[in-house]
Amino acid sequence: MKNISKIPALDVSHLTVSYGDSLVLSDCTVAIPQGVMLGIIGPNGAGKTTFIKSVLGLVPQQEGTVFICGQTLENARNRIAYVPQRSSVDWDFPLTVFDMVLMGCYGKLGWFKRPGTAELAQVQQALAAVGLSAYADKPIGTLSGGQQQRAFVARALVQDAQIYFLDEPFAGVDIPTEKIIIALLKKLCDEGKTIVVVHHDVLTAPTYFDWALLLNKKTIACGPVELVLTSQNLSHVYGISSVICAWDLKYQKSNQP
Amino acid sequence: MNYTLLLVLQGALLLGITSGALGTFALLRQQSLLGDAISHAALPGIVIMFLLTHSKDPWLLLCGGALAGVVGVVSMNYIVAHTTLKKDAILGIILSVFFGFGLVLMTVAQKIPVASQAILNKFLFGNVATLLKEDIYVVACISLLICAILTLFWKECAVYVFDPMFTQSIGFNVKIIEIILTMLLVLAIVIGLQTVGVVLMSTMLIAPAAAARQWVTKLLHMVVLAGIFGGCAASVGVYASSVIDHLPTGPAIVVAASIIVFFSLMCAPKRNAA
Repeated sequence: MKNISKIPALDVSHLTVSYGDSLVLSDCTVAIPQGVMLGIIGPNGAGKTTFIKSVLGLVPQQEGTVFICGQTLENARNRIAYVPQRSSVDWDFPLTVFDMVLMGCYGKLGWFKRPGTAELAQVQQALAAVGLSAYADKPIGTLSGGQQQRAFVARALVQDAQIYFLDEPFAGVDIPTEKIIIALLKKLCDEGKTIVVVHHDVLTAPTYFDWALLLNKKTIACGPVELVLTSQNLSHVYGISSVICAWDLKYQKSNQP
Repeated sequence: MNYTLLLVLQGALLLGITSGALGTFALLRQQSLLGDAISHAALPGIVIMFLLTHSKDPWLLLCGGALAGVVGVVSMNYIVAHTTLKKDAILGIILSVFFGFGLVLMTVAQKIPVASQAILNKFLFGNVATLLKEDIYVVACISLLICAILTLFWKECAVYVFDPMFTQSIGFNVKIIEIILTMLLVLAIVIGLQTVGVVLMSTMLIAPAAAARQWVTKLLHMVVLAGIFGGCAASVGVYASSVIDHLPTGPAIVVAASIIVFFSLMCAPKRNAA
């Protein structure tokens, strides 16, 4: 059973971000209710990653306000879990899988405090949930791409957050990994957590997400997935009829009884 | 073994341990050149301090060096933030401009009619023969300080070096961590300059860390092993330069460190680099 508050999980108003002279996001206003699984969809360079990063304060906002569960970002830090793109770190770093996943509890511990037995138990649980228990003491450099992504997700599970941001978690991973991650995210969602996923694949979006944010340097549409990913909206963003045909085909299929 | 040599060996050991341990962070952050830039940038600071004070006290001169090193880092970050130049180009510019400026100032200093400017030469390639007991105490204090700070901020430094974006997302002020790591690096370099010299200091940071990486799978082990390798290289180099006439300490240490790196690359169990 979902126990969901009326306060939006993510409330973004007039968010504008630019890198140097180029405007990446302009005037994005989005309200996402708690307990939904949201896919951020859009073409390359649409500002999907920038949207997440600016919401999390990782790139400076030029204008706009962001509230997470009704709180400012600074007050909501411990309710947020962030899974960066897998390619953003050096996987040859001298670190075991266990120690990397343990980093998920550092935010709640704050400065100076060291993890205790409760945190270690959380890591074991998270590793079991993503099927990496056997790899706990292996160096992260020995993991395959899919296992790396699952380890990243395990680190987010340890964060025990209200709202999870994942940046392209399905890029270049194997099918079992994709299935494990999706099942985990759906479970979190059922517990009332909010999931925000940057996703590049329009075709799989309706099967994975119940909400969608269609982005192309500004908000095109945001809402339940069947209202957002319409052929009209998609042709507006992608401008390629072939994508739309494939999309309509798939969508009609999935809607048939 | 005479008393002076023993003293100098202690100093070299401490220096090697500290710079090796800190070099680990520079190596893992893919900032191997940063240490090189800071140590070269220290030279004009040392000479300016000498020109102002005419002092023979190496620690006073090294304060100038540390300041100039910080100025080097700050100007580097400024150029990074305000231009589209790549970081390696900026490091190269800072390194050569500061070092060239330092060499010009050294020529000026040589013309001053006081006897003490000979001390400046030892900062180029390092010379431990002049290390005094008090110097060893200063080196020991700074090394302890560096170890203490590293222990205190271990968790924060480790997560920041591995994944800076994630560290920021969980609410840590990454600027503070960055400043701590940079300051520690500057301190480690400053205490090394007398022994190894400006030109070869970066080897003391990078070689032990690169060798240690071949053997370990945990960050803590890498820091400790890099410290041990650094200490060994520095001791061997110092001993060699004390028994072989006219062998400058810096190059001797670098040769010792290179042998450790070579041995590690050849003999360490195959890592999963493929």
